[in-house]
Amino acid sequence: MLEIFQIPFMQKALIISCIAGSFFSFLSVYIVLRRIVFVGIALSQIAACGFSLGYLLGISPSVCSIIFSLLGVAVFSFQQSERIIPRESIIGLTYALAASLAILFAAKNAKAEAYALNLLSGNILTVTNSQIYLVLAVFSGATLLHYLFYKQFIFISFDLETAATCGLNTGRWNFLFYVILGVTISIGMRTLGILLTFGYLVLPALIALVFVQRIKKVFIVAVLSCLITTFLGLYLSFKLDIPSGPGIVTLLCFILGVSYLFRKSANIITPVILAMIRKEK
Amino acid sequence: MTNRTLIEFKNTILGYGGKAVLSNLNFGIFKDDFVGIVGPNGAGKTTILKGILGILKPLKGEINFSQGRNKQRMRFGYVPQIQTIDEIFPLTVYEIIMMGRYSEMSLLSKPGRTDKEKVVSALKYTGIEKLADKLYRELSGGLRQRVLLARALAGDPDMLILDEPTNDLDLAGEKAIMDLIKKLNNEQNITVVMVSHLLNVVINYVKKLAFLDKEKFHMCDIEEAFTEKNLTDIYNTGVKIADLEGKRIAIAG
Repeated sequence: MLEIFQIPFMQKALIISCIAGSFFSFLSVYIVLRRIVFVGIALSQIAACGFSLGYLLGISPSVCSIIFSLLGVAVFSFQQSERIIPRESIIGLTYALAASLAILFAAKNAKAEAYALNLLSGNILTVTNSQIYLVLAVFSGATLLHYLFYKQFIFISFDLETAATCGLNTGRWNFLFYVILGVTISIGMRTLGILLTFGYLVLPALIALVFVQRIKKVFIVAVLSCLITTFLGLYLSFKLDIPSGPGIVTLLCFILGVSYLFRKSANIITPVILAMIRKEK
Repeated sequence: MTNRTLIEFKNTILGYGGKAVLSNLNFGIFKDDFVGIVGPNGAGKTTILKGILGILKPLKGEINFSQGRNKQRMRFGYVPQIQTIDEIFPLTVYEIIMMGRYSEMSLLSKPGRTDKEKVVSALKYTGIEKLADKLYRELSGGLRQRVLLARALAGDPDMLILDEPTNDLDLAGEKAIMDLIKKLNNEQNITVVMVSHLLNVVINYVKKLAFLDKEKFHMCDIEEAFTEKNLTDIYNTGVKIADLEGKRIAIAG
């Protein structure tokens, strides 16, 4: 099983998806608990739109993608009032607009076909060393920020109102949270694709929440489930000759489904077994 | 030290987006006060709390805050409505109470010995020390309210601000939490400001009553405020006051 990871392109795919996946699965805990799952997919799509425009105009697609993400961050982190249009509707609108523009920009680009598909499903099998170094640098920095400011991020996520009364500049911390999210999505999406980025941003936390009930353990299990699934997903995609990104996402969904059923059946079976043991005694 | 003004509103107008919600607010909150703010839904109770907490800047006029202990900025212990807390978070009682200490820690520091001692002390004072490792979401409404109160206490507040602290509580829970708040005011000399739409809960505990209705704000001692005429004017319906074994109750009609 391990021999396929001696092939250089598989090694690189494993390294980049483990680095980006670990951080995204850590972030997935915040995303699921803060109920901002659709912000994740919308930001991924906005980043893809920026990338597509940069490619069309012949300017750096990565820089363009980051700029677009930051614009999305500005919209999502400060948009508060729901009196006229509900927040979810603005997220949906932004997603639809970004997805449409990404396709329109690609349609006007002669070299679009190859990268348009890559944007969606990613191509982690063709990553270069420089991409790995970039992802490593950006994601290490983001991890460090989250480690250093854990107490601020968890407080504003759990109870924004009280955090403000305690003197925390909640607007500034919320903005930093979204900036980290936006920048890492821009960088990660370039290699992982929208689908795998979004999968990592949601599914590992759901798997962890099925099994553990303490916040720190949820972070750990989310990252571990991502690493295990990535390893297995890459192996299966190689063996079955299927695209790696969709393969990993499907496997994450499968593990989530099995975990959920296991937990539910354990909840039903355990009391029955305990009752039987008591009866025998 | 008593009767020292902690917060003073001077010709203050509070509102959102340039639109006034409450005008001409002129009142003070003094050390050791126990103020109950009552009024119908939508009267602006939460708005005035935000003004007191300093998170809503006045559109006009002034809100002056005195210094807290040791000449530092005044510390608020805020207890939000329990419905505003999302129970999806798998946080323990201890972790939530520790959040009350975050404002006392420097930007990068982790909880130290003093912080842990303060949390344990708040757990004990609110009678939930055995629940420290329990998940918040597994607790009843009354216990959740105690957790939020303990979090507010952990920050060593000069003033406790409570937003509808008896919402969703049964009668026993309601009495227990109000007794605890009164004890904090009496024993710890913590100034308390609470908002409630339940007049009968407030009147038997507070020292001062503030009525809020249609941009009008009137605060005075409970004995002076709690008259049938005042209540009838405020609630726009006939209100009778009765005494039941030493407890006062207001009845509409």
